[in-house]
Amino acid sequence: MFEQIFEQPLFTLPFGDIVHYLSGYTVVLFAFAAMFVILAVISLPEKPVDIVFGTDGYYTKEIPVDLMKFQRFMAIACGIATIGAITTGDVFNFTLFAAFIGILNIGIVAAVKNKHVLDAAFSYGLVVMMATVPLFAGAAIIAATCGTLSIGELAVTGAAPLVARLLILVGVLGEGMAPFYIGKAEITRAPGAPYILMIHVSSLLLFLRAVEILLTV
Amino acid sequence: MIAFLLLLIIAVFAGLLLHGLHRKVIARIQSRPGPPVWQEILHTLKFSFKQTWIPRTASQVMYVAIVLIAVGIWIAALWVVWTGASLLILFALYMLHKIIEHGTGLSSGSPYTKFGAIRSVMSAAAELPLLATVAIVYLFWRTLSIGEIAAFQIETQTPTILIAFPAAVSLYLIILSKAHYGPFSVIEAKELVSGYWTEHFGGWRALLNIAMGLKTVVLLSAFVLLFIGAVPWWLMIILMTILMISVSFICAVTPMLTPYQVVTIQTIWTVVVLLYAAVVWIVLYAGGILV
Amino acid sequence: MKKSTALALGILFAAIAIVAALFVAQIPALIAVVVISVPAALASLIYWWCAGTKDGDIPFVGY
Repeated sequence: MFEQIFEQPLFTLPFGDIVHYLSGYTVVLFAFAAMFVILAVISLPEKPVDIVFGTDGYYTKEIPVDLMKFQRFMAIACGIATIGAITTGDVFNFTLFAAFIGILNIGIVAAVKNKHVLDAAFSYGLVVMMATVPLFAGAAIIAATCGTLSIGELAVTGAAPLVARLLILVGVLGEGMAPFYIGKAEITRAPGAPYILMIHVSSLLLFLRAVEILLTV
Repeated sequence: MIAFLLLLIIAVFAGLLLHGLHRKVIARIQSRPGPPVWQEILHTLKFSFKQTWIPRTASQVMYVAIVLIAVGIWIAALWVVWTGASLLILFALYMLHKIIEHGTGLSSGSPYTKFGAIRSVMSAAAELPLLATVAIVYLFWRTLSIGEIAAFQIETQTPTILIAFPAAVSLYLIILSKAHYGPFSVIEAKELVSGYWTEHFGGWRALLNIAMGLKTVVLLSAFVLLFIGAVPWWLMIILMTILMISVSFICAVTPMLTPYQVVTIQTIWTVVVLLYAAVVWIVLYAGGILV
Repeated sequence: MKKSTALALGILFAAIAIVAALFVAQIPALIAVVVISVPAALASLIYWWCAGTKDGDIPFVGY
């Protein structure tokens, strides 16, 4: 049923005609995502140290507990969305999870009371929202031309049109990869290490999964 | 049976020796004696036994876990290169290394490491040439298995470096971007003390050194396998050493570039590689070699 | 974690890592075991070495 460029899937979980699967490649991505979700669950954030401007003194900031809980919730949700994107076997599900990851990336820093971080997150979020257009356009073109959105069937029956694949690639790049990722640099200033890291983990794993999908369909 | 175990131990020492060679060559070009070639091995051994603790401001679990993940992913990458598995897995593990740089920097709470982590977001532009390299290698060999690509080059007597030179330059840029003291090593710059790994000291620094040594061995051997072929082991060692010395030459004579310049160079070279790929694709299609 | 516990964990993880690395050519899935147990062994040995007293002061969080 599946003819991927690597091997037969190691594990499948069918939900009707939407089949979740793990191949030898995506199991590495899944392990990484699971590890970082566990890290987000069990770690406490760091206490960021800042220099008092103009002196040699430094001060430590404590992150308020409600901010930490909010960031933790968003990070875990982002991690679960990443796991969904990694395991899904349906192109439209993948694009939905990609959009979801984009929204949650901003959500992780949404409660930080730092204007600079919030400005950067706003710009980053605008790019993410704009990138959902090519994402869904690509999925729609695949559905229209091939008649199916299942990755397994697309791998066997027909090649998805190149324009659809390029649109999905641009959409995934817009979810936080080069060259649309520069807002992420300023977002990283926000406190809360395990949760901010989930922003990077999710965009990266999404892109890696997208590469596999685009080579398979 | 003992092959992988032995390879792992040898790769750690070989990687650290290559790092020492890197520093020695840079020093000699800059007219100074430089440290002995086994200095990095000595560092790693010394740091393993120094008093190690966890900073009070750090996110404790994250601080330790990120170092363990760093060693883990490069062991996995070494296995991928040894068994000739898919290039995409190697690609994925290389990109996961960027997560290590972010996590190491963010987990301790120090402002120096935080800025190292922020800068490493921008140095992620190195993923663009990597994607271009994978695309071109796939275009020519129609497979992404490192073992098959290495074997095809020996069978057909055409090393990839001759037919896809821009892709070789891309992978070379990637090796350069992860070299210490290089033009793209703005994330470890001296104005940030040591950048993202400032606050990982003692035993943690020893583990990170082991991971970096493995990284060097994996990247250099991947270059030889992908672009020259499945050469005998002694030739591979010679080629890796020559590659490392050439990287050291570039690191010795270039200044450290700003993040903006780093991103510009990586993006321009990616565009060059993609144009080359497009031209080749059209030629192969028009010439009827591809269908 | 007590000093002796760290040493025991270090030796245990090292043994698992060595056994898995010996058989990884036949059973490729064992690479996951190697990837997890090598860093765990090294970290446990670092904890054992750095423990100042026999019980309870590692991982020392301070300064």
